[in-house]
Amino acid sequence: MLTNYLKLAIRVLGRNKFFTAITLFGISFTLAIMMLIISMMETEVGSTQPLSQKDKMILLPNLTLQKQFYDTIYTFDTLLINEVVTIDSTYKLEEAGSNNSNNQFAWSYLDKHLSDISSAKSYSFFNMGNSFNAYVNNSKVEMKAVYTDHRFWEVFDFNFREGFGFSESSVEQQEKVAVITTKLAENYFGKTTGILDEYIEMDGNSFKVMGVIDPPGVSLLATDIIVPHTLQNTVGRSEEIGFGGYMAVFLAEEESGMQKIRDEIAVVNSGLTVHPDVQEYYNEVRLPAFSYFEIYADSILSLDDDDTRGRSLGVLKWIMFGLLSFFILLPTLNLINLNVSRIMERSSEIGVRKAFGASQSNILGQFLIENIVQTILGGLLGMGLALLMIRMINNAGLLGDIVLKVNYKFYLYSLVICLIFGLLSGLLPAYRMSKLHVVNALKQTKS
Amino acid sequence: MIELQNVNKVYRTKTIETTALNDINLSVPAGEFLSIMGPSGCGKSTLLNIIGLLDEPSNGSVNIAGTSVTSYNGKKIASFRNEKLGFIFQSFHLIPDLSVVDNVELPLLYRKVGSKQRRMMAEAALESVGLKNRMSHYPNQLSGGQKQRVAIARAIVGNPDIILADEPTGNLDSVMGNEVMDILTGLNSNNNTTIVMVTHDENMAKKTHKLMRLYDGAQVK
Repeated sequence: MLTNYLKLAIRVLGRNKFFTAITLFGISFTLAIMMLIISMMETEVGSTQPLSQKDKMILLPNLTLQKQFYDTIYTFDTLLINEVVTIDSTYKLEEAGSNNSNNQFAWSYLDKHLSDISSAKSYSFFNMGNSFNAYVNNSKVEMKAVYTDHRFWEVFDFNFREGFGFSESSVEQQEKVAVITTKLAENYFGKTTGILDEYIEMDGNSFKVMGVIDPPGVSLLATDIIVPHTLQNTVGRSEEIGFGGYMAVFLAEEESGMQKIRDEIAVVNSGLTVHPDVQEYYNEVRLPAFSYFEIYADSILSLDDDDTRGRSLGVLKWIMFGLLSFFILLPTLNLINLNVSRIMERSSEIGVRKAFGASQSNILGQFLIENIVQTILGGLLGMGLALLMIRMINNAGLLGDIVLKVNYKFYLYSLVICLIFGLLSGLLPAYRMSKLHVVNALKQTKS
Repeated sequence: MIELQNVNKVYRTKTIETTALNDINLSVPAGEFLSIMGPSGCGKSTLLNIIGLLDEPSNGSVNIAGTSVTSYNGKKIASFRNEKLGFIFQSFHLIPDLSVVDNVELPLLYRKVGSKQRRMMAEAALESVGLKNRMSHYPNQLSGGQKQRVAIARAIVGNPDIILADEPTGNLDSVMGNEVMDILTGLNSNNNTTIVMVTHDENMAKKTHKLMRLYDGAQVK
């Protein structure tokens, strides 16, 4: 029976080639866009290198100092009691305003307070967002630098093309060594291999290349060159307060261990006091801790407020869900329409099939299979289109530091989306047709 | 083989009520070839549809091959039709996207017959209507007479007890019409298949055992 249906599905597609071409174009284009979204999501929030362990990460992006002011609010009322005017007053304490200061951490602050979180398998402190320029053969090469420790390589699993990450002793001895991306290698040296032990100039220093990695390709880890943090010396007044340019990341043994890390950080937090120099303005220290996904959601939605940051993930999920539903629903409705008119032409066939013993579920199954065949065909075309678009986007660097990835999950999710699309767009027309009364079906068309 | 008692069919809309069949009583014994005649709109096709379980009577009882089918649900009726009944339509109703042999196999598809067995039975049915050499053609490559012969092959492939034919020669010229009629009378006499045929053609009706005339939904006595 299935072979029969498949044979028929192919034959039906070939019957009206123009119509089929239009339908397939619509399906493939829709699915290509959805596959592109999948690839983006998989790249940014999927478990890919160097963030394979992202679902076990707790990040501390900043230190928050704050103080809330309260005001006494008086309310006066006049009352007439026994024909005498009396004044009645009430008051309440209301939040009148707050001082808030958010900044990344100073290395020393992190080292002092957060280097002893025992439930973490590993941890790393790193400073991002340093941009330097170098001039090679009269052209400017821009590099985004990360200053960090030797554990950075444990937390983030970079794919080393050659060499390796710097060690603890390299960091302690302030060795001028660097790990660079293939992108920087290409721009700086004009090649991506055989550059170990070569020197690269940055910020007035000459660093020896000891490792070459694939570009991280995710927005949260945008970097070209990674060097020991001990080479950065910017101690100032803000450093004493705790402010600097560093973030902390803690890695749990298992996903279930993340709460333990959060709890331990909360204990540390409770013992922290505001530096005496700024106690005039602040009276509370907070160490907001987030999962990678929460941080990611927040970086997209830019809800910077600490209270909303944890909620961003939920909001982002709804937005993504809404967008995907929207993208899937509109073309589905369109396809349903096309399918209904197309199947209506075949009402005589439905009548005959029913007359000769086809049950409602037989008819439903037949048209669903036909629709899924059509969608999978469109999906294959769409996949080709999506792969082409991904290649073009990556080659042109349209998404900045993000390099779209294609892995087995991309294919898996794409297949699932094809099936959902096929089922959704086929179910309603197939159901309508399967309900068609046999006598009416036979009356409608003649062949 | 076919028993209809006090069968009525009334179509109701909000404003109007139309009686298509009025108190029909009919008994067709096994092996009989019955023709139904009457002017257009007198209810011939409605009656055939009720006998063929394609439509339900408003009231009255329908008994086919010893089974009272009035209480059957959709799925049971579908499988009953599949095993006991074969249909031939005036406009053939072949599926244009299927080859001749695939069209003929259709009833067996819903009977869970293996593909080899299906092919064998379809070939045999096509041979009996003289179209074995057209097996892999498509309906649009056939003449009207050939199409109707394919439709007959489809109706007989499952070896049904009853064949219901709705003006099977109506779209054919007299030569082709006679050819089709010969096949039907052959089926009736050789296989003892019960046939009920709606026709407009007196000459065709004369070739059957019994004639029933309808007028305005009622039997003409």
